[in-house]
Amino acid sequence: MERRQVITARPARKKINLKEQLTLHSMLLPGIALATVFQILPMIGIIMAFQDYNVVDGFFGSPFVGFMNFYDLFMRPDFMQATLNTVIIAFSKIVCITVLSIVLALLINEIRIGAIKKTVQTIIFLPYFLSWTLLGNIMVDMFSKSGGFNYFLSFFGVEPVSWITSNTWFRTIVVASDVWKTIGYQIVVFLAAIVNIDPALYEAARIDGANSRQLCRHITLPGIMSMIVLMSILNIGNIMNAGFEQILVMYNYLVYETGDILDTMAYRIGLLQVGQYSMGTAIGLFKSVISCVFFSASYFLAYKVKGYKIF
Amino acid sequence: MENIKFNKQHLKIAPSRRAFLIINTSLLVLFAFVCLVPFLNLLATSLSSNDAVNAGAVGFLPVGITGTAYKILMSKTEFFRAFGYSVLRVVTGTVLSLVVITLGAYPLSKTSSVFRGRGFYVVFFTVTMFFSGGLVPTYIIITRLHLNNTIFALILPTAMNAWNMVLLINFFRQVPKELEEAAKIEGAGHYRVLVQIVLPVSLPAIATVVLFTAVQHWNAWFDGTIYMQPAKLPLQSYIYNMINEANTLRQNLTSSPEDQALLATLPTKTLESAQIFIAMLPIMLVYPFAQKFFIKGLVLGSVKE
Amino acid sequence: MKKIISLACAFLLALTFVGTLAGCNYKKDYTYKPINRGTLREPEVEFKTAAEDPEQNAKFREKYPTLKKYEQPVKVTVGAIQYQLESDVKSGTTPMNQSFNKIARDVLNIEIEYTVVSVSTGYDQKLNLAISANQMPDMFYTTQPEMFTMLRDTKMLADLTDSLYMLNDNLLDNYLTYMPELLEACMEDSKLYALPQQSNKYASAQRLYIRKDWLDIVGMQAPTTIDEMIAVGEAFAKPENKAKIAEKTGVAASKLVPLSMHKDITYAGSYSAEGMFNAHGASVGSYFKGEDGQLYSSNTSPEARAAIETMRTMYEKGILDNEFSNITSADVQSYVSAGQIGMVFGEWWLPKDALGTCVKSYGAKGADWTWVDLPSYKGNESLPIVDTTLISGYNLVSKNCRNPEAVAKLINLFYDIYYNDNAEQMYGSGVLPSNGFYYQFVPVKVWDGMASAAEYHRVQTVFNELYEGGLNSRELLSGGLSEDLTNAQIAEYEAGGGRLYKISASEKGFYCLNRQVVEKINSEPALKEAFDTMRNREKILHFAQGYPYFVAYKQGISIDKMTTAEREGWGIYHEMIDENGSYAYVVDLSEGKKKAKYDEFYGVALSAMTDKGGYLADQTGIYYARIITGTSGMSAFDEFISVYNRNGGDVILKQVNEWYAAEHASEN
Repeated sequence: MERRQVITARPARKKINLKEQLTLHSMLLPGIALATVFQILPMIGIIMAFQDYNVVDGFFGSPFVGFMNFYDLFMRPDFMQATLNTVIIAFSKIVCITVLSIVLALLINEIRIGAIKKTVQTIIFLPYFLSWTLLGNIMVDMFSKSGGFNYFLSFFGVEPVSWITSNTWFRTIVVASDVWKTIGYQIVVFLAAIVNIDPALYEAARIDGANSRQLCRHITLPGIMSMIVLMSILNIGNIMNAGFEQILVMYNYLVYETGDILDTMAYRIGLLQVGQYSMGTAIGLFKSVISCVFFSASYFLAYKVKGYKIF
Repeated sequence: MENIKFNKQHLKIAPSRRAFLIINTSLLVLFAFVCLVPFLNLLATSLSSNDAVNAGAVGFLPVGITGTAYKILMSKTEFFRAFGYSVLRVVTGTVLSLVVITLGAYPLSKTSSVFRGRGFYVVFFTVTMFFSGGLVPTYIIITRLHLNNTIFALILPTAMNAWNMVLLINFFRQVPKELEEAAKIEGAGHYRVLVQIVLPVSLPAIATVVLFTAVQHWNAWFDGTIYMQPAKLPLQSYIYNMINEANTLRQNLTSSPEDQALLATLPTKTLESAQIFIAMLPIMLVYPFAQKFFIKGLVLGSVKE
Repeated sequence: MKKIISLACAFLLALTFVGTLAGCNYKKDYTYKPINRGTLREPEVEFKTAAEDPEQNAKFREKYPTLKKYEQPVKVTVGAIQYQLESDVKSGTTPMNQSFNKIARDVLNIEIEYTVVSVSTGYDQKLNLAISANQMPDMFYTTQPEMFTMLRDTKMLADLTDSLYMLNDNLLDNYLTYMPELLEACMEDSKLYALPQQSNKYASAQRLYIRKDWLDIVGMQAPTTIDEMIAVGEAFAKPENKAKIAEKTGVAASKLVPLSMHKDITYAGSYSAEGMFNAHGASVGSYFKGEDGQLYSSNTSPEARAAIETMRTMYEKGILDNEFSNITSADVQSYVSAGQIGMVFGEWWLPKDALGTCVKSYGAKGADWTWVDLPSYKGNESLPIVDTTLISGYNLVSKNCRNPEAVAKLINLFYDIYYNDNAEQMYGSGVLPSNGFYYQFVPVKVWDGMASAAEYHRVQTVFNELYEGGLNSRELLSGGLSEDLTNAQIAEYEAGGGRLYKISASEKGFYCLNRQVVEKINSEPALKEAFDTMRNREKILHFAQGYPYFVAYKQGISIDKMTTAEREGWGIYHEMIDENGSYAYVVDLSEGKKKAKYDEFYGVALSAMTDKGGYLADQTGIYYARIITGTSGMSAFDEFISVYNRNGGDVILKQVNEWYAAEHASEN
């Protein structure tokens, strides 16, 4: 960090070398080309949110309806609920995963037997590789009334509950199973950051008589702080992404109240009902705008507090 | 690993610390076991008899052990074709994405005084991070480009991932500028600096991005079901279809005898589980080694720095 | 970053501005615009079937040939669903490489190109997207009425009147004589925009299926009223009875469920709540005529309320599966197969489906099923609810297709192959499943809507004739009628002049109809005559599976005393052959021997339904499930009615009544 600030603070401005500039621009060419074709160009489709879109008239001929789709959307009682669910689920996931992954990374780092350390790390990381297509079905089975979770609880005399259909528990299950699946990734990132800390710092601290807890608090934690900030910022941009695939495979009628999110709602409306593209797009646009606001806010915060630049 | 040896040599372990280490290790081992439970259940299901599975009698151990499901699976060529196609997708998709992102991240890791026009690109990519036109326009573009039913429909649209690029940009920034300056004095251009100076010291970031991208490609199912014909389905789309086929059939079938006959063609739960398990197997086998390499890459990266 | 935000704001502001300007006066209009159906254009030559008037038929066919080969090759693009293969189809067969393509090329000079191909999951979605990208295939089949209306209203479909007359005698006669209402529903301005699937609307009639052995164990009769059904359910739910059942059948008592259904409450189908709603006179998504002559929505009706209340009671008493809100129809199917379920509602095909599997696995321990018409509620007769007009699918042709009549030729060719025992002589060995013909892959097709009823009558008669004619020895039959022959054995037998009936491929060669039995039949003219009235398909399916069971059943052998091979035939016998069986019920309804109640609204969703219906269906499911499971009280039903009407139910109902008035005006 310090090093970078020294460089950016350097006052001397180099003369512009045109050839060098062209080389740099040429490097961005593939990225720009792909993004233009597959990401920017389709944004013409956003226009559908303000139209009563039909296939024959297309993007340019369908009648404009202004904010009618949004008006319809806001009048729907399930829309606000879905928005709220999205934020609650996504936020809980971000907090749980961030906190738990830091804790677990620090704890795993404390394991002194190399083989166990490696095995634990490997196993925890494993579910990350599997899609919700596969895991969602397994989870639904586990948390149903006759599932493995109740079987386990029965040893403690707990009466069986249908967790997956309970509005009280559904979000908890969604968050918990997402933590189970994805936490391995962040743990590995943090462990890598820990390994990256200069060993000389530990040595110096030990010579000063620091114990393990102090080492952790004063060297390890600060050492990975920039990584934690980066991950958190990236995560907060995801505040509106509560996990479309996961919810899609795990939810059911009974838990729409607590489990339906903007993405699943847009999917049901926009793709499963013929000719409702406009409404689906409107939900997507709403989601994008909110995401953008959250991301900007967190970015400013990180910049002000840590002097961190993302781009 | 370095500091472990260090500890052993220089630190006397206090009893309270020893207790902490023991409890910590056992709890983490227990936690790891809980992470494994669903996989055990899956394996047990695939090895059990159909009756036992239908009766819900299978826990972590197979009931009425039989290898029928695996025997049937061996003759399912479409499963293995899908498997191969997924591997192809992961490899080509990851390589392509890595090239595009690395090339893009290098100029963007420069300050705007060094790289003129950086601001425009930043705005450009930020927009792609938050807005998307949705499925219909994307589909239209892919169809117009005649990419349907080719692997490009699966790898091109996601090749330029701004989020992953941000990760690389940040790592590239931390590369000591002195190294680059030295190389440039020797007459190296930007491409050579990127390949010979920046990339070798950024291996941890590269490894992270590779992992990220590969997993994304491996797990993607939706694009496969939209763009590909059955003979070219990637594995996840194939399995998604298989799991959901029963429900789709039931909702779409007419009550004609012809349509009803289709229900008899559906796979059993054990066959389903066997396919899911085999789909996971290579990862379970390859991953421990890949992880070793991955972690090693991170460590190496840090040592060089 | 500030730049980004100001840019984003400017972008949004611009959008807002444009949007507001363009749409400030927009308000969606849901008034129903009546469709002028007109009348079907008469053929230029009067149509008579060959059976009625051969001469006239020949004239007609000269004008409207069924299978005339194109002189120049004609290419059509199509969509197809790639289903799982049935066991007798050559492995590796796909729509693209199926033998039908080659036959079409040889016989009709039609080159079929597959542009939209998907497994059944996602076919609709894929078709939707292809259309949105202006890549609609020349001809395809869809089950979505919304897609048909959208394409019709946007003028993307070809007029198929001529193609209709080019269909073969059987199909054309079925349409004109038995199902004219199907054609009418696909017309606008005297043009026919689809060749609708010929489906029997009565095939969706619900019945209640009950475990007969459970009834015997608790000493009760099959219920005829809802009260009796609850009593039976309570008996099934009693721990001591569950213990008895568990002891008898070997299924764990904790797994036993008196009545099951799946979670999609608003979806009618097998193992659904539809039968329960029907029993109370309701049907989710249906519209019935009220006393005032206006239609009303069944979702919010007192009948639906009564049905919900009954289910709530059953749930509370532990009769209705407490897991129902978490299980799909596939789950129920597997539980039924596993012998855990006492009662389910469903259509005619359940016996060969899960019930048959259940009997196969647990028949040795006495598992057996019986079925009754829907139990009555409060003394009212309970009738199965079926559509007034049922169109289960549409064969559509794009306006841009240069040879729309190709659709009729392909349908005729399919009919010739699929419904004809002599297809092999006519079109070569490509018509055999073992050579890559799979009827489900044929891109455009119409099932013969009258074929199943004919099949039922025919097979039932033949079975009785064979039995009376002396083919009734259990010794000969109880081992089953299929015999596994190697290819060498088959070749040898056929070289010796014997006729083999191949059932399906085996590891060695083929499972064939038992040679000894076939020889015995052939040796007696009376038996042979009866046997040969059956089609090949019926011989290798109905006869091979069902006959041994039929003989044992007829001789009064109880299910647990039968051999495994005999029990195999339980499903097919009680489904397609038994005169009190499940398909017999459909035939009785079709022939007017039994009564049904009709959903007055049919056909394509109206615009208000398209816009509001999805949300309302979701809400219906949510409220129903909550009330049934006791999460909400019965009073929540009133809340539901107001939510339903406020959020579009009123608008839809108004439009439905306008539609109803318009439809009936055009009738008169």
